[in-house]
Parts: sequence; C-alpha cells; structure tokens
Amino acid sequence: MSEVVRRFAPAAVGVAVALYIFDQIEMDPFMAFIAVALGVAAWLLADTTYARWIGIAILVWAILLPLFHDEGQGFIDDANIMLAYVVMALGLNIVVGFAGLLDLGYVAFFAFGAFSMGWFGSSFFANVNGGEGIHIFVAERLSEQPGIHANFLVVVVAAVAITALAGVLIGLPTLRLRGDYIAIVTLAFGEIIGRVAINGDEIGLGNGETLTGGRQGITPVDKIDLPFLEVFQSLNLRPWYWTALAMVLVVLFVNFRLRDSRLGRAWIALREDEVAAASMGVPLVKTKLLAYATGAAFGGISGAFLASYVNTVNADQFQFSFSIFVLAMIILGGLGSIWGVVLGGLVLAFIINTFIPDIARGWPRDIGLDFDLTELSFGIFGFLLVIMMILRPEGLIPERRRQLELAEHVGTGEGTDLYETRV
Amino acid sequence: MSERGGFTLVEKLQLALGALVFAVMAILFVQIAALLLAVVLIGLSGVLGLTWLWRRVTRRRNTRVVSAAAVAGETDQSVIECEDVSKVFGGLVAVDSVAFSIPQRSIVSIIGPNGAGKTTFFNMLTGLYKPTTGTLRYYGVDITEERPDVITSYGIARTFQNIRLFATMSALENVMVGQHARMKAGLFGSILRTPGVRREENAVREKAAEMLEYVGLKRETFGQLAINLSYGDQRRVEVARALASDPNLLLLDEPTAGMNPQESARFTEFVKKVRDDKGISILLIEHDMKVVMGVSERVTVLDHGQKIAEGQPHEVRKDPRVIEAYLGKRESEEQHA
Repeated sequence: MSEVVRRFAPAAVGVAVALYIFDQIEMDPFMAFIAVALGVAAWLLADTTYARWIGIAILVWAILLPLFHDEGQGFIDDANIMLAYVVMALGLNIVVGFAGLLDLGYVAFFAFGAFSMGWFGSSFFANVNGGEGIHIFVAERLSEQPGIHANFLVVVVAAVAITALAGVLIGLPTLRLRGDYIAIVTLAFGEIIGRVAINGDEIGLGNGETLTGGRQGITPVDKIDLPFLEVFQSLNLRPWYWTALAMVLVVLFVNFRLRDSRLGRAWIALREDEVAAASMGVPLVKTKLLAYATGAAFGGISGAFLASYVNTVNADQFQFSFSIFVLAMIILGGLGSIWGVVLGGLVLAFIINTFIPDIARGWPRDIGLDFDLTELSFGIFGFLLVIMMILRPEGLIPERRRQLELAEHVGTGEGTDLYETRV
Repeated sequence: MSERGGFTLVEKLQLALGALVFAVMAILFVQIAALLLAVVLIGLSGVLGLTWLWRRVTRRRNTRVVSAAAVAGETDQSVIECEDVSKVFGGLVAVDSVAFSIPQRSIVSIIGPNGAGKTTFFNMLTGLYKPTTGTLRYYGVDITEERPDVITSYGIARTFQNIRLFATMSALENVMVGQHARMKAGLFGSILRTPGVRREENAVREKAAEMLEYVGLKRETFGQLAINLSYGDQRRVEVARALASDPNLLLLDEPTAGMNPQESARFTEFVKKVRDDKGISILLIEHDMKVVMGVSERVTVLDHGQKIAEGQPHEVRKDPRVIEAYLGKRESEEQHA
C-alpha cells in the first residue's frame, strides 16, 4: 500500500497542479484534458519505444493549441511568455547544468539580446543615415521610418553573435576560478550590464545617439517580421506563439544534440572533475568558453523575442533578481535534465507571471492583512526552493533518468547495435 | 605700499589667478593624461588579452609530434626523459632534481615512502603541475610547458591514486570521454550531426565497449553510472578510460591500492598483457612490493623528493639506502652490524 502511495502520490500531485495551472491560464478544457493524458502517458512510457510517438503527439498538441483559444489575449499571452522563459532556462542549463559553471549573471545575456532587438529593430537610432534610417529586408511599412530596422532573422543572428561574444567575455575572467568564485564574478558581470543599461542614456555615441534608453526604455520596438509572412500584430498573438514554440523546439534540439555529443560529454566531465577531464584530453579553456557562448546565445534569442513581444527594452527589466529567477527554474526542474528544465521553466514562469500578479495578489487582503502578494514574490520563490530541497532535492525530473535511459540506449541506439553486433 | 611689499594688489591678483589657472591646467592635464593612459592601457590589455585568447584557443595540437619510427620501436629513443626536474611548493621541495627516463616498451616503477614526491612527479609528467626547474621530454620533444590535454593528445594517459571517474556518467561514457583528444566533432558538427560526426560517434562508442571488455568489465555494467560500480570495476574503468586515448605511455598511480593479494597478482599479469598487446610503455607508482618486484623491469626509488636508488628490482631491494628509507635508520644499522 505505502509503495503504491509513494509511487503514485507525486504523479497525482503533479496532475492536480497541472490542472490548476491550466485552469488559471484559461486553457481550453479539452486541450487541458489531452495535456494531462499525454503527461501521464509520457510519465509511464518514457523509457519505452513508445516515447517517440508520445513526443510527436505532444508536439502536435502544442502546435494546435492556439487554435483553441482567443487569438488576442488570455491564455496565449501567458503561454508566449512561458515559452520565452523556457528558452532562457534551457540556455542557462548548458552553462550551469551541463558544464557546472554557476552563472549568476545570466540577465546580462537577456539584456544583450533585448538590446540587439532595440538597436537593430526600432527607431531608437533616429539620426543614422541622415535621419533616413537603415532598412534590411523589412516590410514596406517600416521602410519609411528612421532608425535601424532589420528583419527579425537578422536581429536574431546579431543577438546570437553579440551574446556569444559577451559569453566569452564573461568566461575569460572565470577560467582560473572554480565553484562559488565563478558565481561571484558572473554576478558582478550581470550587475555591470544592468547598470550600463540604466545609465546608458548618458553615454553618447555621437550624432545625438545614446547607447541605451535608460529607464525610459526603447519603445516602440518593431514587431517580429519574418520572410514570406506578414508583420506580426499585437492583436493576433498566434504567430507569436508559433514563433516561440519554434524557438523552444530549436533550442531543445540543440540541447539534446549537444548533450549526446563529444562536446556535451566534455561539459559533463568538466562538471564532475576538472582535473580528470583535463587529463583525459579535454581542453578546459575552449570547452568552458563554448559552454558560456552557447548558453548565452540562447539567452540572446529569447531576449530579442521578448523585447519585440513586450514592445520595450527597458533598463528595469535587467535586474539581478531575473538571473536568480532563471536559475531557480533549472534548479526546480532538475539541474542538467532537459525535460526537467522545460517543466521548471513553465511552472516558475506561471508563478511569477500569472499566479502572483493576477491570482494570488489579493489573498492577503482577503484575510485582512495590509499588503500585496507581489511584494512577497521572492519570498515565495525562496519558500518553494526550500520545499523543493527538502522533498526532492534532485529536481522535478532529475537528470539521473537520462543515465538509465542511456544504459538502454547503448543497445537500442540507431546505427550499430552494440549488444547484437559484438557478441 | 607697492615698493615695500614687492607686489601691487593687481599683481597679487594676477599671480593668484595665474596660480589658479596653472592648478586647473595641471589638474586637467593630469586628468587628461590619466584618461589617455587609461584608454591606452585598456586598449593594450584588450589587444593583449585577445591575442592571448586567440593563441590559447587556436594553439595547434601537434598530435603528430611523435615520429612513427619512434613509436614502432625502430629507434631506441626513450619515451620520457627528464633532466634535473624539481618542484617546490613554498618552502617544501617535493621533487628535487630528479633525472629519469623510460625506455621503449618497458614497465618502470617509482616507489618510495609516503610523501616522497611520487604523485607530484606524475602530475608534472601529465602537465597538471609545471616543474620549477628542469625539462621533460617525450620522444625528444619538450613538453615541460604544455597543457594537460595537449600532453594527453601526444599520447600520455594516466589513472589517479584516488579514483577520479566522472561520477554521474556511465562506464561507457567515461571511456568515451577518454577518446576526446582523438575526436574531431565540433560545436556545429555536433548540432547538425553530420554523417562524419555520426560515424565518429559510433566508432568511439564501439571502441569504448571494446576497451571495457578488454579490462574485463561485464557487459551488463557498461551502462551503469560510474559511482554505482564496485571498487574493482571503478579501477578497471579508469584503466580503460586511459587506454582509450591510444597512449604510448600509460601512467598508473597506485593501481592495486585496496586490492587483495589475488587481485593484485591478477593485475600484475594484466599490466604485462597490456604492454605486450598494445606495445606501450607503462610507468607505475606502487606501494605493494610484490607487484613492483613482479612486474617492473626497472625501479626508481624516491625519498624526500630525491632519487636514492635506481636499477633492477632485485638490486634495488638490497640497496641500504632504500632499506633505510623504508624501515628507518637504526634497523638498517643493525642489519649491517
């Protein structure tokens, strides 16, 4: 009896929490039902050959999802933000989860990504090119406006380049450090970028331009403009959703591919034992810098998306607390576990974005207390993490699973079948 | 008042103004100079930093450093040759002017009491420590300043005294990491998983399984996490991981620690087998005299960082200084008396 309880209680709690979240973000009941069914199926069949079909089913479900909802507000709005946060969590997971380099300045990469969008996709640099503006593959409507306006794909490429470079820069001073000391350096880096973002409106670039918009921010920012598609609108959020979903899929794909590659093994080896890794031929400098650069690039992509989506690049977005927020996602989900990080990202994004500001905000007042729950959001985070550490320190979906999976992967992997061919 | 006081009021004012202007100029000048200096310094350090980074990242891995003839044993060049190698930690001389060499295809041991500097010597050979003085040569190539991973790519592999496997990776993955230096797949190749990368990955996985089988691990345990393996199996995986990097020289740091006599004896046979199968040289650090005497062709004895004896096992065993180092002075005096 107790065995049954121990095995199924977490699943039951998971289903209950999922249903609650689905209800609160106004997910269509039918889709919510399917989601729970798929989740349970995934939980039961994760290690079998059916896993691939479940993956495909989840993908189809996710693609169809927005068609069941109002296109302008509500569910899709929440979902878009959640997906963007998941991209960021997956990026940080490479640095912290795989390579074991505790990065407390991840917000810097969000900032670089957002500023790429602000610089290359708005009228912020109003005086460039004699006030005519520079336009790179953009729609008719934008080509009259001053400032630099680039196609979203161009912006993403720029964001990836800039953030990867920033990742290498932050990596350099930490190369000789280990553990907590890396955390301190990266924390300082995040703070520096945040300060520069705030005070950047005083930094002139000549020609009357400034580096950032400071606290006023850069606004409006161009809507996403993809080739062969119409420019996205703020009244129809479905294209945004599909773009965010595509980003998540790409980042997931890259995560999986890298994890099961030479580089991913080197990262995990580095995390486990730096000395042994170096002695086995893993070049420490190159491997660490690649981890920083790759992780940062994902933050940059997500930052560019969010800047366009929320229509502003505002220095107040880039606070230290955001780094902690993303870190909390991957700790909650399970360090180094890709699916765990996705889940942790979704749950925490829901909590910070919907639950606290929209739902639980008035609870203290309802029971006669004179404060607002948003003032306590970090207290709630801390509380959640403490509870997590006590009940399930390895995260919602721990990484160890993958190791067990891998044990079977040796036999069932595509290409050569080791057990069969070698006996 | 002008005649006696020297300066008129106007002149004094002018002087004061002059001094003020001078002071302001000086401050401004200092500031401008400081600014210029700062710009120059930042620029310079940036350029230097970037060049340093570029050098470090793009440093050519000269994996073909060893001539094929040397590896094939056609020349009688030593695998390793050390001259006057010392390592000083603060005031402690851990290794003191040791000269040492390893002939081709030989099994050589370093023995000595605890704290004699054996492991420090190992760490210098594998690039984890830089020697304070002296040079290390590998097939005649100076490797004194090389990074550990470069040295591994040259063909020197090691195990550790206290097992250092990658705990949350499976046995198979551990051995796959051992082949890192022999692989080519880069970031983008890994993401796209090009046919070349896929082929390489399969080959590496197969070779890892082969190595694990070679060291005698059971197939069922290949997928287990390293941390869950039994002690003996962990030792085996460590040897397999080192062998996977195709070394010309294998360094084993106290490989039989914690083994019972039968296991040690079996291990002795295994070491000989590895040497004969792979045609490589092996350097052992060992405490177990039975193993040392049974397997080594030459023994070097370190004590307090100094080489006190070297030679065939049976010679070394009789050396009075060795006996003294191991058993203490009085007893050795009694023996001589």
